[in-house]
This record gives sequence, structure tokens and C-alpha cells, in this order.
Amino acid sequence: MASLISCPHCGVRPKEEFTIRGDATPVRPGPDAPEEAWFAYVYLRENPKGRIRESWHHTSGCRRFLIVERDNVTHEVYSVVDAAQAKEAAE
Amino acid sequence: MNFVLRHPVEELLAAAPAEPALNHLSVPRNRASWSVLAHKGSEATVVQALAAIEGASVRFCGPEEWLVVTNRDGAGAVASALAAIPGASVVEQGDGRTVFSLAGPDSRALLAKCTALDLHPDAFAIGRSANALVCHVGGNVARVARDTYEITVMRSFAASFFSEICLLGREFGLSAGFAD
Repeated sequence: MASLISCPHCGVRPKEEFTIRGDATPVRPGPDAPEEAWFAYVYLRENPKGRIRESWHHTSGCRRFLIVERDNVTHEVYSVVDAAQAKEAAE
Repeated sequence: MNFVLRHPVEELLAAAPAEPALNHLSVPRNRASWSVLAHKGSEATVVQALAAIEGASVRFCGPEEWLVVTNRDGAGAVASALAAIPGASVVEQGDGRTVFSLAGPDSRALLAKCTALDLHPDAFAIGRSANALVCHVGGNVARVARDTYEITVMRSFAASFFSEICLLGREFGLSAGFAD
């Protein structure tokens, strides 16, 4: 497990300050999307090995949601960005 | 209806000695605090307005969020100044947060035992503040003087924080007492 996370607002902090909220890759379907799309979004998850994107919450710090890109084999952290900024950049 | 003002560490501190040691944890009874959140797009104006308020210590919590701490004497003036800031939401936290003041030559070494914040003077200069995990509790740490730190935790965690920091402070001969 990556033990040090560079929060873009608070600086380098240990993982104990954070809560992992899960995979950040699923895209929320539209309100009129078919039931299968919603089922997949809510329940179906990959179990990838290697480089992953996750939503982390800085619970004991700035209380912002972050997107952490890390490797679950080597424990290397590639990038940490605020989820709001990541969303803006994607749009 | 009667409201009884009781400090959350009242019972824990009853037996504590009155004489402060070299390293001392004082528990000020007279602090008032507010949470300030800037509305979207008005962060810069709120930062300016907060810096202009006299007699208040403004502590950084996160993006667009601050904790304003002051003595209860000047609380009225600060409260009205905060309410006048355009583009900000202000919540009174006086009864919601508890402030502790840790002072002494070993205060940094003591605090380093229970928080992962980088407390080196280059990284955490006087006047800096940050939200962090302190004694297993989420709180705000502010460096107010060379060897003085103010730690603000939620009221319901204050007793837990107090017990733990007193335990950690035993090797430094930490004393504790109320202050006005």
C-alpha cells in the first residue's frame, strides 16, 4: 500500500489520514440509461493489477476528494489531483 | 431552560497541579471560533477580508475553508466583521471546537509523536496552520510562536485528545491546567 500521499492542498501525509472510496474509473450513466448500464456502474468492478485510478478522501485533512493514480504492485504513486479539478480537466 | 457551560476536560483536569512545568498544556476557557467557507469564485476576496480582521487568528483548513479563533472578549466585533464578508458562509464553532495550547522547549518533539505533519521550522513557520491527524483525532494545528502550538479539535474528541497528549507528554514532564 502506498504509505505517503502528496495531497495537493496539504502536502505529504500518511495514508492513515485518508479513506479510500474505490475505483475512480466508472463513469456515471445518464438518468435514462438502461438498467444494465446502471447495474454495471453500481455493482460490477474490475480487479486490476498494476496502475490504477482511485478516489481517496482526505478525511483528517482538507476533507477533499482526490484522484490517486498508483500502482498496487510496486506501491508507487504517480499522481494525486483534486477530484473537482480532475473533472474540470476532463470536460 | 438552563444551559450549563461545562468544559469537556473539566473532570480530567480537576486533579491536575496548578503549577505549570517547563512544558505546559494550557486549556484556554475563553476562546471563540468560527468556520468560514468561501463561496465559489470568491476565495480571493474572502482571504483579503479575513486578513483585515483585527484581533483574530485565521487558520487554514482546506481550500476555501478557514477556522477563525479569537478571545471571547473581542468575539462580538469579530463575529460582526465575519458576517459582513460578502461571498462567505460563517458558522459559529465556540461550543463545537476545543482549543489547546501546547508550549515549551519540547513541544515540537512531543507533537511529532502524534502527528505526521512536517513541523520543521522551514516547512511549518510561525503563523502556519494545517488540518491533520493529531493523537488519532482530526484537528487543526497552528504554530503561534516559536515553541507554542495551538491545537483545535472537535469538542466530543477533546477528552480523548487530552488524555493521549498527557500520556505522550509524560517523558517531557508535561503539565496541564486551565487558563483564562
